[in-house]
Amino acid sequence: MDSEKSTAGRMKRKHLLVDLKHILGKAHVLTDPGSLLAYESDALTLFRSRPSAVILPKTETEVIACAKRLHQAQIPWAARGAGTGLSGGALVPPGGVVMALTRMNRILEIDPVGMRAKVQPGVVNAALGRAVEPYGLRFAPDPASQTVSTLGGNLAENAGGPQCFLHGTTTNHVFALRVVLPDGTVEDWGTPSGVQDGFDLRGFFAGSEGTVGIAVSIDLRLIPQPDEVCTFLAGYDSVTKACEVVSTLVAKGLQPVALEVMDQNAIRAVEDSVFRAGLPVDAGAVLLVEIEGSKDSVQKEKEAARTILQSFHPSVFKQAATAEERTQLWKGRKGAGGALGRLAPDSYVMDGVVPRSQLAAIMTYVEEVQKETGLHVANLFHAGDGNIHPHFSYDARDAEQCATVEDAGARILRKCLELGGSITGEHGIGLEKENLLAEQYTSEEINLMERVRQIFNPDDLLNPGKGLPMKRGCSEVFRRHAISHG
Amino acid sequence: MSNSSLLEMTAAFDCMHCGLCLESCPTYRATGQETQSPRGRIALVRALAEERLDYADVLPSLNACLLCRACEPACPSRVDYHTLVDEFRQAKPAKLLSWMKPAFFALLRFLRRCGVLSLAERIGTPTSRALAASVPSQPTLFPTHFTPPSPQLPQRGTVLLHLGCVQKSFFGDSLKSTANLLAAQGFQVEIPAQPFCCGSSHSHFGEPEKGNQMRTETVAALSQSADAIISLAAGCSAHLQEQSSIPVLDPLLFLNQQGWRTPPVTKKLRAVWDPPCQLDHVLNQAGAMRRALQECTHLQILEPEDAELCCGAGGMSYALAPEVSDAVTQDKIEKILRHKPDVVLSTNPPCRMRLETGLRKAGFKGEILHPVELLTVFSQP
Repeated sequence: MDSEKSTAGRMKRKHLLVDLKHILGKAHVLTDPGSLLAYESDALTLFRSRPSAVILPKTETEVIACAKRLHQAQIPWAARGAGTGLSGGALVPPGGVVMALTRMNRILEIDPVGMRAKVQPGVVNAALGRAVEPYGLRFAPDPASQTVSTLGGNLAENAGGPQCFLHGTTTNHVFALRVVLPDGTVEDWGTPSGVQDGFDLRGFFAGSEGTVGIAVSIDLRLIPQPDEVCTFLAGYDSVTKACEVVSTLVAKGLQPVALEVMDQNAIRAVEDSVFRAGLPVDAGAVLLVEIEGSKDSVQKEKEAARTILQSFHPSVFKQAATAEERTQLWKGRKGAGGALGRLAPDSYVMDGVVPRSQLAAIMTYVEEVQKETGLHVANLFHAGDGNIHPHFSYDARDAEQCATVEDAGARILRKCLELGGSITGEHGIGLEKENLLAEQYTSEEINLMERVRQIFNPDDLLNPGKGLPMKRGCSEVFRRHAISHG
Repeated sequence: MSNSSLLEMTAAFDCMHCGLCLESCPTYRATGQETQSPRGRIALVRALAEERLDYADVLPSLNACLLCRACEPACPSRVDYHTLVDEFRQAKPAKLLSWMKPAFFALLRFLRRCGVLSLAERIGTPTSRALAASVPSQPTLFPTHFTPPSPQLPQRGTVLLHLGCVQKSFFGDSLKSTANLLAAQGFQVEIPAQPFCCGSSHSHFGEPEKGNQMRTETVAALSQSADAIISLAAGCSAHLQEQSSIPVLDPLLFLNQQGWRTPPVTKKLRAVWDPPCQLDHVLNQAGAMRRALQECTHLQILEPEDAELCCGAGGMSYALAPEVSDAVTQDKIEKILRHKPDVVLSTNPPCRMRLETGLRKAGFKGEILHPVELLTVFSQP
């Protein structure tokens, strides 16, 4: 009986692959062991799960056809952009299919007057930035991965970034989208003008972590480039002090576009990398403050910020003198996560939020956890939002270290909740935090979310097990950390 | 290669999978596939070391790497990526390496002239087809007994001309033009007896020891006292410069450094130059070359969008992984043709061959040249 079943399963799978190849062409359906391994994880390598096939559609029509066929086969599947996500959001359980949208990378329209652009989901965030720059426009959300991450992925995870302190996360920059639902039906949500009527399904989609549908075209909001930008770098003797400065800046009513803190371990990693930015390696922490706007407003805010920053006696204080210097500072900040790769084979980036006033408290706790575990931790965070990102260095080949890292992460996130915060700022729940979600929300609340999702994804076949705790206790289907052989 | 020696490759473990390299990679940009990205390739080598994959599963992806090294400056972790690829390829050196002999190039020239290669471009294995298509339509051999003209007096210095296997076998005319140009600008051109090949391909396609030995022999042959070694191939220059104590330079770069005695004149043309990766990412001379081209041709030198991306040649990668290379080249050709050029310039023979293949296929009727020929072919008296 079992063998009959598995034969039937094999046949079903074979037919599915034949059909997908018919839709996409052979070259865009990958089933060789190398390709499957390459798609076993996103940028959070703590979670791995090898798909049974990877498909790369190029057009909306192809996405629809594939969705219909996968729905018919009742196969779990998930969309993936550049694979820079940090919560395991682009993984499928064994037998599942990954749909990589990297070939759907055309900018369909730029409307400088309406200050909007229509893009396919595989367009890279920074590529859109470069394309709209000649019009004096920009796309505000600026995740550290923006030079490579796709806008579809940014939307699915509701990505943030340093500048989101002032401008808000991706959801604030989306006017409309065309969505292919798990069964292949197509919906248009939102309006290109940005005026939302009826239920705001567009807003619901942002941050749904690929569990509601696949956005095949996205209308994005663009904003003007600022007249003037001023970036300060201040070095302090401790992270606590840098956090105090941040609270003071905000309490005094200043509205910087970004407020970023890096601790000494992060500073040293950056200074040892290609993104060397001239940061003071002896400082306990550095604070990056960026102010933008009209000439007058920047002038005023700048002086006020300077006074506050200096009143805390920084060991180093400077203002980026040129655009190049400013770019270098941000390259350093955004490359910091990657630069930590030199310290250990793997790195676990956490993402949690606390009220700004609790930043010093959570950082003290992180330090405690670090001392207990003995692992190397570097901190870089969006201080303005109270969004922390401790980076733990570890070796995935060591099962004990994996468990320690995961446990440390969970403890820090519980502490975030205790301090009145949240278990994610911008990386999403993904696979990483679905168990913790039950500690942030009551079961009634989670059930409600589940019921809403079921309207769009009734069989839970589109990106199963993400964002919400998996029912039937089958989250174990995703192999955690331990690298299995074979 | 044993897995234990792979495990010693720390490069694979320096990568933390952040993906910041992705957009710098021409093969990823052309295919959208993770296995065609630096991060994907490193993950595969690591999986091989961890015995999670077999060698054969990893090979196609690593074969398709063009080794343009554009990913290295993008890497925050400073992964020593090219060493990882070089070491991986040692397990199975490319068969093509043993064919890099004068007789094989002579055969290709002959087959091109009698029309057999046009047929070979359509039948045979993907590798043989790609190889056949890459042979230029009018290959010229650099004559063995060529005597460079005497320098225009007063003499300003002496240079040594490096010939190079592909350059000498297919683009002999460019070498002649170079010798004539340098002499006209007041330089004594010496062409010492030298090995047929400098070993660059051997170093990057699985035989590094042989490649290093060939380089040592070439540098020894070019060790007379001179102002510079002149090479028309950025790939050879990058390889030789690692060992040579005197600069190894493209003739235009050299002459621009020295100052033009009589500035050359060129016709008004729309010229597109695609900077070779070795010049751009290894020698860091793309900027200087760009300025040299502008100054000596007095033309506005156009560059394709994303000029820093490889053209798809990748030494001999185009023949080892033709499908991926074709996708990269097609993208490059489209971007070049958007400028509607009269002439396309290249300063590295494999790129020049690759561009010619792609441009001819796309119906381009203009010339594909090393810029040194632009100065002579089109110079007005």
